Amino acid sequence: MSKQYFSTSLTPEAHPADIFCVETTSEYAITSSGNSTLKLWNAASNDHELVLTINTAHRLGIHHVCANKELGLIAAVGFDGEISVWSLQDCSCRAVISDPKTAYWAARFSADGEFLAATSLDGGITVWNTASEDFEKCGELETKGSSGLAIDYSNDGRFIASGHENGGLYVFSTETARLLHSLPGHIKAVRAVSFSPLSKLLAAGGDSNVITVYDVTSGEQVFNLSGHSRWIMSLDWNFTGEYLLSGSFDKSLKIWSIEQTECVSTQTESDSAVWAAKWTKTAGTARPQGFVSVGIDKTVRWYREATGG
Amino acid sequence: MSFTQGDDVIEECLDYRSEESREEILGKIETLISDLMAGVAETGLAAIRLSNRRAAESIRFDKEKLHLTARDAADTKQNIIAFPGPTILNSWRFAVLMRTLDIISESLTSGKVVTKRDIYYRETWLFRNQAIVDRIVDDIGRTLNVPRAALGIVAAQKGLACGTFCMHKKDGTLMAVEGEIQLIPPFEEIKSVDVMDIDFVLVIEKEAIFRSLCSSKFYNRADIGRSILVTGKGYPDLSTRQFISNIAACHPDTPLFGAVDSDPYGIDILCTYKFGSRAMAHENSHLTALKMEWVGVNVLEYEDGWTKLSVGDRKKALKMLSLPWMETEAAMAMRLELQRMLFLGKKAEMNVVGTEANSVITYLTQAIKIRLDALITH
Repeated sequence: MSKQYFSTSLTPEAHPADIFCVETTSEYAITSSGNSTLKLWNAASNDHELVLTINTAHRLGIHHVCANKELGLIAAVGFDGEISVWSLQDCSCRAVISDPKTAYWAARFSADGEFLAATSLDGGITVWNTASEDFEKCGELETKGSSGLAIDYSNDGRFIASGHENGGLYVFSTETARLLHSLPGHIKAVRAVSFSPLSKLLAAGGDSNVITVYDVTSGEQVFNLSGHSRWIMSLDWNFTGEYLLSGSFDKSLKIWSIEQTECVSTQTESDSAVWAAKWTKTAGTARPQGFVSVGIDKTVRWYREATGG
Repeated sequence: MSFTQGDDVIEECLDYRSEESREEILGKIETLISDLMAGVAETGLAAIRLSNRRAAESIRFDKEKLHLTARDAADTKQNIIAFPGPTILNSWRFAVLMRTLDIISESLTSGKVVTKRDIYYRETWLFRNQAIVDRIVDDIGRTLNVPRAALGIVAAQKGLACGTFCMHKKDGTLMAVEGEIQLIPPFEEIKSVDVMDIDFVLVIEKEAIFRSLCSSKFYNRADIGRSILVTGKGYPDLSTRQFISNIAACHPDTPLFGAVDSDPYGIDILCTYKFGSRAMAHENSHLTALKMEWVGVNVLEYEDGWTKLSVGDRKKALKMLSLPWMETEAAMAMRLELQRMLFLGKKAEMNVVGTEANSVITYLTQAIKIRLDALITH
């Protein structure tokens, strides 16, 4: 059975440069762009107006952004290789994390907000304690040295997954700080990794154009999702774990049913590559869960499921 | 002055992207400087032994091969150049030597090939005339025992032009053959350039692509019209930049297009034409062509054929992104391109655009046609 989504609202020229990433919280969609600003858009209203602009010090532009609702923190990673952490309450900069020996790339908070983890271009993964004053480094995970392009923290806090430029895909146990699985299936760059809400499944995608789904405990590849014609840039599960949202260089967004293991909806509104897409987190409200997408066209697009269909 | 294939200019043009031998020569220069510093610490005098390759003692006659040849480095006559020197002349020589070594290190570090003329124009007040530069460069080569080309310095002009134009030189020669590839002479040797009825000027980064465009008569096409094709063979020398800047200034209505690889060096070369180089900042007002429009290639246009962005490429891209003028409106397209390269970790060379054999020509024809059509409708 296919599902119907429609574009409810769009903001063209949301940033003057490419929008490389989007993150959602129950209140906002947060976009990060090549022009060094973070923008917070109202996720709950109908016209999704701009609520706040944060001017960061990432002069070379920002690619990744992640947020944690519990802590009210946003972390932005710039092309300069530094991570800046911002407080949602007063938009002040809480910390700047940098390492002259490497450049950080993708970052994720743990669900409880206790930790922040980031990949770097030299392949390592660093974990920081967010409770400490200056974001003290509390762990380092070793990989085989290929640039880490994607990271996710499982909701139960037990796993970290990372995707790498050489096709490497790893699952680490946070309890032992050890590698749990080195997952096969990709020989080209892995640009997106995402744990299902119950931390049972892991989805990964990238330059092979195929989404692979694994059982986190056993490391078994459970199924593949094929349909995108170009690189997969972004993956996100809806809050029930029934649907997976993918954004691709082929300009489209796809919604995949996990039960049917097939694509149930394709959105082709953008005429250029999609850099990122995320489900909204305004759950608990009456409206069904929608999603937001961003990309080269500098536009923020909001989608909602067609009801009564 | 017409240009024929096999001219030594081509061989002399180094690949400005290769890194190995550059490291080695930079090491030799560093040794030279650290020896100098050690000397200062010991005697309070800065002195360098420089091989004098023209001195009679430095040269011997090879009786087997019947030509003059350089003696072994150990037997070469050495001049001691010191600061403060015994005479003002000696101190000036020291300054010339230091500045030239500085420029050589800079060109080796950045991987840009410079001509001897470029060096002279960097510091005309210091070098006084071209012959001084020619001599010091050769002496440095001899002292370090490396060929001049390995220092990243080429003797001659390296820019090439082809198409419908007519160039009068001050010595009376006329360069006007349509379709023949011409070496771009130094600006002061040119009396005038007559540009006849052209629709655009296209500057191409790579010589190989320039040559294939010339042989397919790209400068005279029914669909996009007549043009002048120019290549600076990588980073353009002074003469090429002056030539382009001059045509741009004298023909304000003629569109000027630039075609470069989608890698940080390609973007930097485009920026050199558009905004000037830092090395020649004091002369840039006569050297730039801000109106140059970038026709590709664009990293997003590829279906295949990307290569991985190397660590060096990343560094170069970040360095360029951090230049203050990269935040201006005029540089926006280049800024976005550099960010996309970094984000994807990919770059693309011009010659692998598309899949068919003639794809570069097809690509450029389309890219230029779109822009020319847009000009007509406006």
